[in-house]
Formats: sequence, structure tokens, C-alpha cells
Amino acid sequence: MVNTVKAALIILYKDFRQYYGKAPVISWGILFPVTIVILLGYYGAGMGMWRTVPGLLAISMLFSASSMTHVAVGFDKLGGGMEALIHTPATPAAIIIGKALGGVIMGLAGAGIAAAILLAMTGALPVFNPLFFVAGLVIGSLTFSLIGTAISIMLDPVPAVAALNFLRFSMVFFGGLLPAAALPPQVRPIAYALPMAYVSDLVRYGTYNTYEYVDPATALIASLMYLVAVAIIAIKSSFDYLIP
Amino acid sequence: MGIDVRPGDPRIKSLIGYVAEGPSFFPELSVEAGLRIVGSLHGLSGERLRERVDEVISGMGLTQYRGRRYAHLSRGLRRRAEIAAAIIHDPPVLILDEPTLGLDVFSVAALRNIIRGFAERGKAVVIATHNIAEAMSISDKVFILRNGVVIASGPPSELRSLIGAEEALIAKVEGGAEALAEALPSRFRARVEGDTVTLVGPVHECLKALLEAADTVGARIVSVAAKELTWEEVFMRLLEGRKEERGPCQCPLGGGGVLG
Repeated sequence: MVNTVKAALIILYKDFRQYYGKAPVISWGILFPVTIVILLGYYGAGMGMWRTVPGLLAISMLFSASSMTHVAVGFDKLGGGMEALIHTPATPAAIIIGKALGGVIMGLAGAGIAAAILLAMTGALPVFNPLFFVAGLVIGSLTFSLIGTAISIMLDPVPAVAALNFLRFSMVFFGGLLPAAALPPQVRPIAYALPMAYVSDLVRYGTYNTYEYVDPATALIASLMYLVAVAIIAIKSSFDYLIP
Repeated sequence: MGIDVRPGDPRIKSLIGYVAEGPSFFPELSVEAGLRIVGSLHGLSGERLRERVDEVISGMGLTQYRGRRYAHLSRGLRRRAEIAAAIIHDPPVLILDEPTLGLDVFSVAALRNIIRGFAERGKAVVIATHNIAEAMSISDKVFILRNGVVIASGPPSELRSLIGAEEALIAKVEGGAEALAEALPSRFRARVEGDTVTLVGPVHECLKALLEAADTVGARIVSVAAKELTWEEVFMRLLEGRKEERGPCQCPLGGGGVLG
């Protein structure tokens, strides 16, 4: 019998063979972040690059990671792939790890593409604290990948994409691109309730040695707590779906 | 097999091959690539995986479609690909849920041959189906379920004998089909549909009882025809028998068969 790690890697390989070129991955996972990165790379300089660049990297990660998991889970549910996986000895844990890993890779690739574009546009992309930078990328891509996984497992594909977009577009503004001070006090708590503020601040501290919403230690703890919470929701909903 | 059945236990999954009623393959992958994925998840690798993929592709008659995407196959070929995936690890038990649903007659015949071949190799095949004739024609033993409870089981020939007859008489009646049916002994299980009365039992006995009952109630018999009961009729009669025993129930009906 195949072990969990090997099964997850086989599922990851299958998902990339099947889904990396799918329209939602290309449009929401690559084209949309690239567009917003190019747009705000030019017009966001006035806000200060230390504000714009980390937010753009985090947003690219969010859209790339969650688009891949949405397609990998949603299309498999629709087309019969999930049914086929359920009847193999791959455990629910292996299936979810395999699905989420695809999102992590796409999230990191999305951030990489955004970084390359911003580097070409601005000529420099500082990295002052590599550990925080890497922590921001890893925690962010994992969290966003698991958000896509959980929503796609719990909902049918069409409502899932609506719910996902509601959450993603909220995070573009709350914690992503708008400075904390620019948010009206009544809606500012929303930014603190979403993981984007913490992930983008980790990336911000890693790159520009500063922060917007919370200090780096708080950002690290809060983002880790968010990651654990999202992982629990994703695993619970997956087990409920995969073990009738 | 010495293992407690618990949901999600991978050991159970390696002992059974399961073909779901709906699609259960990878639409964007070729037959061969999909089988390699499923085989790998069953722990096959290297030469053994290659061999098994070749064996099941050939056994399912999919050789010329091995490079074609599952999504581009006909319904019958998709079914074969799903069965190939279910048996790639050579399980001792194969479970099929409505295997011939929506298939054309040629695909049904091909599929039945494949299933029989599997059973002939000493494997157990369990088929869940609403198609009674299919269950009766292909199975060694049939279980008829109602609301999840087995209401009859046995070889197909025994199930026919359970209702006491394999023949029926259909009579068209003028003036009092209902009254005529009521006048018949209950062992004939007379059923009225419009002006037609159907009796179950040896034809000569049915005919004799029919004429006597017609005389009694003053009904005129316009025509009679003898026929052999279809499996659907046998099934309905069995259910009617159980309904009389247990009272009315609005519940789903189903059944299945076992080979091997």
C-alpha cells in the first residue's frame, strides 16, 4: 500500500497534468494578479513602494494558490476524479495534502511572477529579513491554498467561486493594498479579521524592514494561528466529504 | 478477509474494486495516464505497473483508445475505463453500481462478457442494479432489497419458483372485470387494469378458474392470452407478496446480484 506522502505527491502530479492550463487557473491565478501588479506597479508608487509591493506579492499568492485548489478540487468533484481518488487506498489526508500542495506551488509561482514584474518595473526588490520574507511566502501560500481547498470542498463549484471571490476581493482591500490608516475605523476590524494583513506584513517586514498593520512578531503568531485554523477547517470538511 | 470494515480504511480499498454509478475517472487524462495514476495509488510501480496497465487495457478492449482522453470516449468505453481502474490492483472482489445504465446494447453485451470473464477467474462480482432482467441474466445469486432489507434471495430459478408459477393468463373482460377478479381464488393473485384481468399460475388452471368465475359473476370473456412472466412481473409479485405481509410502504426498491 502506498504511504500518505507518496500518495499526496502522486495526486499533486495528477493535478498539475490535468489542471495547470485550465482557464480559471490562467485567468484568476495568473492574468488577474499580473494585471493588478502591472497597474499598481505604475500607479501605486505614490502610496510608497514599501506599502504596494508586499501587498501585491501577497495578493498574487492569494489568487494563484486559491485558483489552483479551487480548480483541482472543484473540477475533480464535477468530473469524477474525486470519486476515483476516494476508491483508491489514498487516505483523505493524502488527497487533501496533494490538492493543497498544488496551491502552494502555484501561490509561490504567482508571487515569483509578481516579484519578477515588480523587479523589472522598479529595478530593485529589497530583502532585509530573509527569514520573515520566506515565512510570509510559505505561510501565505499554505493559508491561501487551504482557504481555496476548504471552500471548494464545502461548496459546489459555482457557489465556491462566488464565495472565494468575495473573500479574495475583500482581502485585496482589507490588508492587501489599502493602508490601515486609509480604512474607516468602522471597517478597520475587517482587515484584522482576515489573514491578508498578517501575511502582507510578514512580507513587508521581510522586504522593506517595516510594517503596516501589526509588528512582525504579532504578524507571525497571528498568521500561524490563521494557518492552523484554516487547516483544521479544510481537513474537517475534507474528511466529512471523503468519508461518507 | 479478516478485516473489520471501517469507513475510509485503505486496507479495505485494496481488497475491492469499486465502479460507481456516476463518472469515476480523470476526464483530462488519457486512459493509460489515468490508469497509471490509480495503479500508483494502489502501490504499483515500475515494470509491475506497466504490465498491469497493459493487461487491463487489453482485457477491457481499450488498446486502441489507450492514448485517448477519458472525456473524449463514448459512454460504454468510459465504463470500461472505470472498470479497468477498479481492477488495476487485481482485487478479489469487484463491486459495480448500475454498470449498464445508459449504455447501448453492444456496450451492455461487451460489459457482461467482461464481468463474466472476471467471475470465471475466481473473483466475486457484486452488482447493484435496478435492472432486474440484467441481475437475473448475469448473476448466480440475486438479493432483492426493499428499504435496505433483503426481501428475497437465491438463484434466479428459485426466485421464480417463490411466486409459485412462471406463467400467467391475461383475459379481456366485458362487464365486470373487478367482480370477476374478486371471484377468483386468491392463489391466482388476480390483478385488474381497465378491462384486463391477469392471473398467475399454470395456464390450464387459470383458464378453468377464469371460466368458472365469469359464469358466477356474469362477465363475458372477450379474449385470453397465455404468457410467461417477465422478471419485472416476478419482482412485482414478490413485492406484492411482501406488502401483504408487512403493510404498505412508500420506499425505494433496489436489488443486486452476485457472481463467483
